[in-house]
Amino acid sequence: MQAGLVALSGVCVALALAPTVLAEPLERATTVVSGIADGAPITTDGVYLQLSGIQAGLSPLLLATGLAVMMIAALAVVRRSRVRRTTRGIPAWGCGRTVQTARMEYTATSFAEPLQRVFDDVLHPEIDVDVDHHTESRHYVQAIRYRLHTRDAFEHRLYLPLLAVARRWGDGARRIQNGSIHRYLAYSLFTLIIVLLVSR
Amino acid sequence: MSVSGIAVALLQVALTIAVAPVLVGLMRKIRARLEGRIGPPISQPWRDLRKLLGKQRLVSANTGWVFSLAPLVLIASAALVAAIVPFLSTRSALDQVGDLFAVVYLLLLGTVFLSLAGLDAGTAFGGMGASRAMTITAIAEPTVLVAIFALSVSSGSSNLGAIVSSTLANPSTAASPQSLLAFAALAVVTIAETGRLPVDNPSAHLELTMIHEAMILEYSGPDLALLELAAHLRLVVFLGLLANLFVPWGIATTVQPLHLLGAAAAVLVKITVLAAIIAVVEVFIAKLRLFRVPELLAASFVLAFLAVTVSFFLA
Repeated sequence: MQAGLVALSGVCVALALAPTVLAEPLERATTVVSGIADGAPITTDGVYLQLSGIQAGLSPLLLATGLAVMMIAALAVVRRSRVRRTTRGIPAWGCGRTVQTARMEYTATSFAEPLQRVFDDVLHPEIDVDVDHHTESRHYVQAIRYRLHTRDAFEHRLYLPLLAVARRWGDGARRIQNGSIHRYLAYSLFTLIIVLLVSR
Repeated sequence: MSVSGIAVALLQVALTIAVAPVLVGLMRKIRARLEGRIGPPISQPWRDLRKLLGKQRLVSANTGWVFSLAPLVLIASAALVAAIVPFLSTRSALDQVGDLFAVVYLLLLGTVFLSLAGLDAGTAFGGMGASRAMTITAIAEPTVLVAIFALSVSSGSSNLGAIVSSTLANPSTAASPQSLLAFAALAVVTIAETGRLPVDNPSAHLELTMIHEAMILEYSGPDLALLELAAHLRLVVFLGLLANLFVPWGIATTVQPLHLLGAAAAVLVKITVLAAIIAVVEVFIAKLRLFRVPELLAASFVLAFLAVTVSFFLA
């Protein structure tokens, strides 16, 4: 499975760095279909991409090179700093709490929580908070369970209603055409009469 | 891509790096004076950076390669943007390398890596900062793109040099409704992305309220110096972008040294004025509650959207 992921992301990175290799084949494809392109939409010289409709250019390869050069320059500056000593393995900052476990890390749920709260009205997340108290005293909390479930807004608001409409349409169609040849002949007769009446 | 063009780009990077910490020092000084304090000297951020470069680097046991890479990516992306944006001359060599969209995504690359670095250490504070930063970015980013779209519609190009040249050729477009609306939208986003009040408090040192500072809690020594410098650079780049996109006068249209000198003076004055305005306004306002920030950003999105609508109807 990882090989597939690596291969696909490799293709993405290659295309991001050198989209110019695809410019010419895409251009040929658009010129074959008539009425889409008047002239070449993209001009390229291998490094730069230039849109022909409006004045806009881009060179992902040079951008990546520039980024790499700047990173190497920054690294050189840091390496030249007076102290080269690096102490590894110190505990992370816990605001005075020295023991930190993996349970204190941000999870995907907690990471997305602020954004989910912002888009509350759109996403309609279902939130459950269960608090268990100690039997001795209600003041002490034994455990808290927090569950957050977000239904896919597109699926529930768009795809499922669309599918329901399509299914109703199909049910109606099935009732109209049930495979009886007599019924089809009757339909053609009625259609013929209507056409004759209209075109009279 | 000419030699003189590359020289201009490198000059822009050097100028931005030299000016950025001083500008932040100036903003702190203005704020301190208005609050009745004397405040640290203007060169204090430079001294801090120098001190941090000499300090020992402490690396937490839980961190991985993202943690070491993030400062480099952040400073490199900010420096590259400083090279692309026409601060000094419209004839920058890198103008065709990246348009305004590329600039925005380079800055976003830095933000994303900073958030990843915040998560990498596995502490609660780093995760909190990363989560908040991504929430704000997710709402600010559409505004930036729509506002840029408004600018490119009115000038017929998304290349920074072309936008600046078109405003220089038709000075009346600088005061057109779409330009003013886009300016207002981008100004709000600038404040959000550079972590100024009322979105984030740059002088906050209480973990529960921080956004930017929470993500860089684990850094020390030279890495922290790079991150601080990158934050200063981003502020200057955003302010310079605002200044030269909407008030481009003073920028050189050639690459002659004398014109470049004049352009440097002009852009420094513009950035200083913007920074002073931000510093003065910051004295009078408090930080917004985190969940009121989206309302501010949504308002800026509406402004950007109006800018696009107006630019289509007035085109």
